[in-house]
Amino acid sequence: MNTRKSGAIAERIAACFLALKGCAILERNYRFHGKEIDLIALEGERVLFVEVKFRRTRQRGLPREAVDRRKRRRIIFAARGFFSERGGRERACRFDVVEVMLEDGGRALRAEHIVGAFDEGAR
Amino acid sequence: MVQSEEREAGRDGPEQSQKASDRVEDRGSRHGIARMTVADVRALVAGAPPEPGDEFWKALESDPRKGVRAILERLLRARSRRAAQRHRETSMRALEADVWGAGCLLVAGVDEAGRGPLAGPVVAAAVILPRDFEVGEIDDSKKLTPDKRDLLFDRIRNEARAVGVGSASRERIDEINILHATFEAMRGAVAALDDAPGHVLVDGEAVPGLGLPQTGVPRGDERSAAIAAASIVAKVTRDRIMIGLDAEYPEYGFARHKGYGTPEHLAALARFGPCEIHRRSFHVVRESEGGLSELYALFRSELLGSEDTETLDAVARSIAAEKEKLDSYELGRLRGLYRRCYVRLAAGLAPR
Repeated sequence: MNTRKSGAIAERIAACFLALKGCAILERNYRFHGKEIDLIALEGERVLFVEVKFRRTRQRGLPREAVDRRKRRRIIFAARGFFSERGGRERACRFDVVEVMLEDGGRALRAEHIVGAFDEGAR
Repeated sequence: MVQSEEREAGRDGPEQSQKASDRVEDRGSRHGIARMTVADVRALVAGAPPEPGDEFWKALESDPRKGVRAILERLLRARSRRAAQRHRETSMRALEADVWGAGCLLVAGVDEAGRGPLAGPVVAAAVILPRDFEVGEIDDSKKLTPDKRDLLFDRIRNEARAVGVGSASRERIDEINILHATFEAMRGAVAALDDAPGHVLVDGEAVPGLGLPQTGVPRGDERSAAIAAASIVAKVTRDRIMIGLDAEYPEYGFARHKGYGTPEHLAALARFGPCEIHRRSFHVVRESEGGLSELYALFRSELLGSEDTETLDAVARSIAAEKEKLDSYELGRLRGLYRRCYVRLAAGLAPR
């Protein structure tokens, strides 16, 4: 199993997770001129831009998932493109991360929804 | 039953929600440019320029791509340039408009060219522009390239209500000094107009003895279209005269500097001395005539070479000691030079 396949599966798991929580899935693998967002969902009236990360092992109990600066810029760029494509008005939104992990030596599956992992202000 | 549930849930995960997706659209339509290349957007804008507030414009504003932002930037700059030009069409005619408002129909702008040069005549022009004249690129002649000046000169002569040109010769300048000669030229320009103006706008100070209502306008050649037009006519007319004179007196380079004191001109003056068209009443011309003594030249360079006020005073004392050897003109010049150098040295500046 290569990383691309496991990444794709993790994205589907993350989508199900959010759906179970009551979000509506708007886009998967949204692409805007070379920049990508794994998942775009709607939680009430707020738009969520979600980065999905798959982890085979929990590394030393990392509490927050850090998305590096470069990736952040790209996600923000694509988010702007998303709003622009749909009529231009930017609305309440949030940048989240969903971590999908295999735990307990592969016996358990864990998904964690990290809310507001970063925001637009942080370049 | 199970089958239909499966279909609803979707085998690959939750369905993308169309209804929810609709809620994130604006009332307006989904805009096309998001998936277009920047080059295509540029072409689209060129073909059908958007106005602020319309859908296309809003799409340009929200697009995050640098290239699209640049296109918007260009559009904004072009709009503001056009607005500024529209404003200028009004503001440059404002001084004339005030006079029209007061009941006067024909307003002339007056300016001169050739006050500063060391040779040749001084030329003045008077221009009456029609009410619907398009200002366009009309501006102070000094701010225009020679090619632009030529083009505008032709346009002014074609479109103006009236154009008058006056001048004062080099001999006249030597007789009555450049200031009075300029006024004479200006009076001549106004008199040469086919239609007599009811009011005259003059660049700088009002002209004595004009015999017409007039206003002196400081920096008038930048502020008023009529005066700017006159500045163009005066400059081009004089430039052509000087280019013509270059054929008669080729040593000095009149075709290039038109008589102004450029390094080329000063060098030629020093080398050949003045010719028929040089203004003898000007100091720089006089100094190159050779009528001034070696002693004068020596003292002049000593004054300019002094590094402090003590040295300067020492030079002054040696001038005083030899004053019988210098004529009154030379003494007067040295006195003025001493004073100016003293002020500069006392202030801590270099003498020249």
